[in-house]
Amino acid sequence: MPLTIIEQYNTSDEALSLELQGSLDSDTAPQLDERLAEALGPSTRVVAFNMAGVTFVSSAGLRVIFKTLKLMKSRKGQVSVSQMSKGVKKVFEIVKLTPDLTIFADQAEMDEYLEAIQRREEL
Amino acid sequence: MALSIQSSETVASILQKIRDHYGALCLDNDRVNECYTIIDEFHSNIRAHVATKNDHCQWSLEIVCHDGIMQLEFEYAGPGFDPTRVGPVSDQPVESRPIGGLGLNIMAQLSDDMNYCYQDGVNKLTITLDTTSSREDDTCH
Repeated sequence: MPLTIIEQYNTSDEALSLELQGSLDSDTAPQLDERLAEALGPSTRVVAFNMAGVTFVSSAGLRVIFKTLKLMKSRKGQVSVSQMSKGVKKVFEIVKLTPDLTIFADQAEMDEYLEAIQRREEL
Repeated sequence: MALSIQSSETVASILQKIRDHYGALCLDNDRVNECYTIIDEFHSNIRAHVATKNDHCQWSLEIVCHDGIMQLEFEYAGPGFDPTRVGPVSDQPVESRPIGGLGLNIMAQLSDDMNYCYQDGVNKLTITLDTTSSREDDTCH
């Protein structure tokens, strides 16, 4: 299943929000990696992934998220994930990534969080 | 109801074949997705660690599904490598962990059973998944 990446809105210079649809596997992970390389600016500190449409994920996809998480942590930022399916969450838990991620059950919670970042930036 | 897959196929085409072949069986969707993850892990490990040393690397996958129990039988010729002997995932914070080496842990944890044997230069890995195990909320019928 191909991967579709939708940039939901560019909330601020500090935050990037992407919606993923399809599978995040060894075929499609390079596509996400390239998109992030283009979209991440020098001041990006927060990357938000809406994973409601992700059917399954393998370690190739996790590596891209892992790499992004390491980069954001080095900038004192974070990676947030929302609406993971039970199966996708299980894979994140197996590799013990969930403690390092900010996880939201729904998009509304994540939007609120991104808006708070934007408000803070505008002050 | 067996399905045979050869190494020349892409992951996308393998997964499509499985959907076409087993779609009507009404298997638990989460477990089928776990089966896709396992196949992708095997496929990418072969590409990364075996095919780089042997241009003619051939592998095969035989899938059998009986009463909701799915058995994946992977075979490839090459030096012996036992994927069941995998160390635990690091407990260290993400900043101090290496990015790779997660695929075998994922395969092992998603499988209900994983058996490996090496005979006559052929690696054989058999993985079993019970696709009936989480069907309490089954809306398939």
